[in-house]
Amino acid sequence: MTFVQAININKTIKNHIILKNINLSVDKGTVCGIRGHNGSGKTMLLRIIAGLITPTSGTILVDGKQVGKDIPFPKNLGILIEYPGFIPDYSGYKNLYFLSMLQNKIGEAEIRQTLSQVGLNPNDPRKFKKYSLGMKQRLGIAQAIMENPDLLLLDEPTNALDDKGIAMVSELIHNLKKQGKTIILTSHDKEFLNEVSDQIHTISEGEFVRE
Amino acid sequence: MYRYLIKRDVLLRIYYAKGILIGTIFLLLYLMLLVFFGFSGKTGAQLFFDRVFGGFSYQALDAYRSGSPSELPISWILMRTLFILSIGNYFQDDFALNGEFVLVRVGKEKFIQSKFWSLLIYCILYNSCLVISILLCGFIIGLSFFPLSLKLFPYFIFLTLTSFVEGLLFEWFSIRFNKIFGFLAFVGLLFLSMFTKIIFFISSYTMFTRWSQANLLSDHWLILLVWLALLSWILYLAIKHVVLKKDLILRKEAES
Repeated sequence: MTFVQAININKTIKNHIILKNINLSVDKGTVCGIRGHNGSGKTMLLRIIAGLITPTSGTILVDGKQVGKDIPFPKNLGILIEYPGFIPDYSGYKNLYFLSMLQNKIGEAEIRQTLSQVGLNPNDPRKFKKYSLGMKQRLGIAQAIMENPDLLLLDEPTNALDDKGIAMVSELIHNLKKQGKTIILTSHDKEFLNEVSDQIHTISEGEFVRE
Repeated sequence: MYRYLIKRDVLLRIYYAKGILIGTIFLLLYLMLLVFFGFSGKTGAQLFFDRVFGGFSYQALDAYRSGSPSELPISWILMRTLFILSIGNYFQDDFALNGEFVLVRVGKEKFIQSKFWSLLIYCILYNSCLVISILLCGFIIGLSFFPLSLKLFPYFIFLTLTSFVEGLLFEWFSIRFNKIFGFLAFVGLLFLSMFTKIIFFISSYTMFTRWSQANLLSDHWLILLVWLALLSWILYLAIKHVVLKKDLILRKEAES
């Protein structure tokens, strides 16, 4: 059953084509990997699917509902795009607790569990500003998955992570997939994408290309 | 939900403004020392207060217009400018770069409302800290500072509300065009307020001398209050309109 569908997505900014005729279909409970070099349009595509950017033409359907028309953002969405603006003077746990209060879907136990899942210590008192890049990335992943989203959009989730971190993300994606989550992720890392994805698309200069 | 969203915004606004806030403290200390070594007692305290909050009085404006020598309120201009700079690019950055994970959780409308209320709270905190530090400095320089305090409370309310509307104006221009336009709009308003007696140029309300040495503003306080409320509402709608219609994220990317 198709969960996410991108139909003829085009995005042009000041006569510059960013995305051209993108068609994508992702089934529920599968992982779709998007590969491409910097500036190829990967992040733009994720933002359009998330409803953060309006495409010049084309339609995004998530669970049968048109993003930007029927719903502003896909329901029950988890995203990791760019660097989340966490509160620098709060610990990782406090940041997630704070964030969870916005929707009030989960409690302390779930937050602690999510932090452990991504390899962070829930009792670590260090402030976010003292975190290493890898820890920041892990916390970014934690915020995306903590509320048990149905759709997960991850932009370069292995950025700043060491081999152990990449293995953790890989295992996490496998587990989420087993739980029936739909995941769309981007990466430069071909090996990583091959390992976690059910389908892989390569994007170059805004277009899906065959390899 | 709102409580947490607004708290996040206030904390991040303060965090991003910390460099400018430290600069403001140093400027205050510099002004205090300048007055401390030049004057003493009540004169020193009032002079210090006037330098920071006084602005350009109507008498000074008349003198300036008639060609008599009059001193421009450089310290006041600097203090106002530092305030606007402390607001910075937070709204746009959070919307277009760092706040996407919050945005998808709460929706655009609540995201904008939270920016509005957090700016008001930020202005209250900023001006409270400023007034308290000035009063403390006043006590250090000259102990008799109480005569001013009677007029200080209504002035503080107008100072805070005006700062809020100036902040909204700056944010609207920054989002609609860019930060430089926002800054120019603010400076334009500041100078129009300084060199005219038109009460609708709101930066006049941040000049304490115009409240204490003339009745033009205090006689029309209710109109001024309504005017500020109206302006803040209009600017809120304008910001909302721009944010809901524009692909801000794209513009930010194009800029970088």
